[in-house]
Order: sequence, then structure tokens, then C-alpha cells
Amino acid sequence: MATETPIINILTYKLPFELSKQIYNEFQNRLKEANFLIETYKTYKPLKDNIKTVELFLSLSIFHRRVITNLDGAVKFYGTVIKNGQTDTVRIGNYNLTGEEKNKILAVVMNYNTLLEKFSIPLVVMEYYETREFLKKLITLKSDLENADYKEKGTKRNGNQSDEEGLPF
Amino acid sequence: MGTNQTKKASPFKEFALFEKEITDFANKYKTIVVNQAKRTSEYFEMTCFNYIVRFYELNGYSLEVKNLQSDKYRYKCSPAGIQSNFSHFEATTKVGKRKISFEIQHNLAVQSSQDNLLFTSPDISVIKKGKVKYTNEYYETKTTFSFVENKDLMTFCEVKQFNPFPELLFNFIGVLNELKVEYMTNSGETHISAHIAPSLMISGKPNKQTTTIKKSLENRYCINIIYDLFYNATFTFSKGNINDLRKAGQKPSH
Repeated sequence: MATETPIINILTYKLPFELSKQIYNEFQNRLKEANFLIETYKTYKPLKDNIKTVELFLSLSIFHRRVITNLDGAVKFYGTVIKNGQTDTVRIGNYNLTGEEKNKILAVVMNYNTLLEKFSIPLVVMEYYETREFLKKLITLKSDLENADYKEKGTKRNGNQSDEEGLPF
Repeated sequence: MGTNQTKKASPFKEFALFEKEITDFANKYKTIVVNQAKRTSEYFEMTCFNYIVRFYELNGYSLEVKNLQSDKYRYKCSPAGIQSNFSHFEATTKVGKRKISFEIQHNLAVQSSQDNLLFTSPDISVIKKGKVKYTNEYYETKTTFSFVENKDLMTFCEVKQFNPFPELLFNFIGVLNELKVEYMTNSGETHISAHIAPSLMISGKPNKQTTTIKKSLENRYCINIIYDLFYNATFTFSKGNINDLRKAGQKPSH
């Protein structure tokens, strides 16, 4: 069931309305553009069979830019305050960013980074201004992963070959 | 191969797994993200403030948090409020045998350099120590207004969580004209102690047009326009690159 809900809806569920609207609108506009580019231009054809993956990357990259980077900034600012002052709390309006709260935010950032790492996604893929630039980065990533996979298989094959060559019969 | 090495998956080949992992991540941290998301714009400002503090640290200043409120660093999120109720950083440097201190303040009103009756609040301002003033004459309601006189302003920074666009960049020059009019004719004072030149910090990545505008504006004025903050700032504000940022004063002659 969960897989039928678009990831963008899962990522934005219950976020403040303004933020959620910004993320969702950016996603819709870029998705439309991405689909058009992939359908129309030869350059983007390598992604033709990966439309769903493009959609996931797009959702994740917008969430990255509008949410994760800011959370990371909060953690860093907290660190600077603690390093230079006799306090363990940053008060923002009525909210207290304590060490415990900072750790919760840090857990989000760290697990997000682990997720990217697990799928060999370098941060650079999340950085783009234009949708076409984003698609080009995905094509490069796809190609890099395929090459790495090919090389790994090749190494295994060669490894097996040399083992066989070592046999006395 | 080490036994601890985690197997890397391909998001292109293992689409279902990629989708599942994102969903799991979103669901697992939903409560924290939702709770924190309402403060993302404050967190962005804090990120920029942090980089400015780093600039001073890398330029040999010692830093100290000042004016804690009930043992807490109270962050000023908007221009509203009395400055003395909020915390700031103090940056101290040695010039000869003398120690000079400055305050790095958030959202403090600064007097115009063109007209003493006008004020605007840059997101970050660096001022001489102990120079924040208070008056009840500014607002009709006699509410206390906190400000710094223009002569006590060393530099300022504006931060924007947007993709850069022409009007945004030119608006910054309007603020520069108001707060540091001498920069319009490249007559900014070079201080013995290093200060970052008036800077515009933008989260988004530039395109061809905004890159051209940045070059043109930096060619005309002693300012820094810093794009793509989340990705480039670590590099820009690193030990090896900090000197590439312009310092307050006059732009280098080419």
C-alpha cells in the first residue's frame, strides 16, 4: 500500500503548509519538465526506463535542499554556541534547542547521509539549478554505477578464471 | 574485502528498495522533521551567521558568546524586540598591544549612511562593542527601538534562502547604498582589524545570468556575493580559502 503513495507526499506529510506547498510545487514543475526533456531529447534518453527513479531522486533532492540542509545548519550553529559560550541551550522564539534536541536533529541528518551512501549517491547529485542539469547528473550517476557493477563482475570473472587456470587438469 | 563493508545498492536497478528506504526514513523521522520544519528559515539564518562567526575565527579573532538570557543563547529571529534581551557573539582581536572587540548581532536596526532618520535591519551586522542604542522616539507607540548608529557599523550581511534572481541582487545594492554609501564610489574605509566586506549570502545555485550579474557587481563594488551556500560555503569559509573573500574597504585593483 505504502508504495502506491508518491514519495513526495510521504516526505511532505504533516510539514507546515507553506513549506509543504513550496516543496510540492517545485516537485510538480520539475517533474513535468523532466518528463518533457526525457521524452523529447536524445541527451536524456538513458533515463527513459527510469522515470520512477527520477521521480524519487527529484523528491529527495528537493527535500534535501529545503529541509535537511537547514537541519544540518542548526546542528552546526548549536556546536558554535556551545564551543564559545557557557550554555547548552539555544532559544529560538519559544523553543529550546537543547543538547537532546540537537541530537535528535543530528540523527535525522546522519541517517539521511547513510541512506545516500547506501545507494552510492554523492551529494553533488542533489545540487542543481536547472532540471536539465539534474538529469545530466543522474545520467552520469547511472553510468558510473553500471561501470562499477561491470568492473566488479569482470574482476570476479577474471578471479575465477585465474583459479581455474591454476588447476592441474 | 572487509566483513563490515555494507553492500551498495543501485537506485536504478533496485528501485523498490530505494523507494522503501526513503519511505522508512521519512516515517521513522517524521515527528522530528515535522517539529523542526517550522523553524527552517531561522535555521538557514543561523547557518549563515555561523559562517560569519567562522570568518572572524579564521581571521584570528577570539570569540565569545555574550548576553545569555537565563543561561540560554537567545537567538533574535526578527527585527522586532529589544536587542539587550537577545544574545550575540563578541569577536576580539589584538592590534599591537590593544584589544579591540566587535559584536556580531542578528537583526539589529542600522542607521542609514544617507539620512540619520532612516533605519533598516540587515540580517547580520558587525558593530563596535557596546554601541547598541535605545530610543522611544522612533515608533508612534513609544515602543523601545534598538539600533546602532551608522558610524559604529563595521559591515553587514544579508541572507536569502532563494535561487538567485536579478532583482534580488540589485536590491542588495540598494541596501549597500543606504548603509555604506562610501562603497558606491569605492571609498570604503580599510580597517586595521579585518572585517568581511558587505555580503549577500544566497542558498540557491546561480544560472548564467546571475553569474554574470555577480561578476559585474563585484567588479564595481567591494562586496561578496556568495551563491549556493549549502554546498560551497564549507569550501568558501575554509582555512585555505578564507582569504579569497573580500574584506571591508576598497575592492582590489586588477
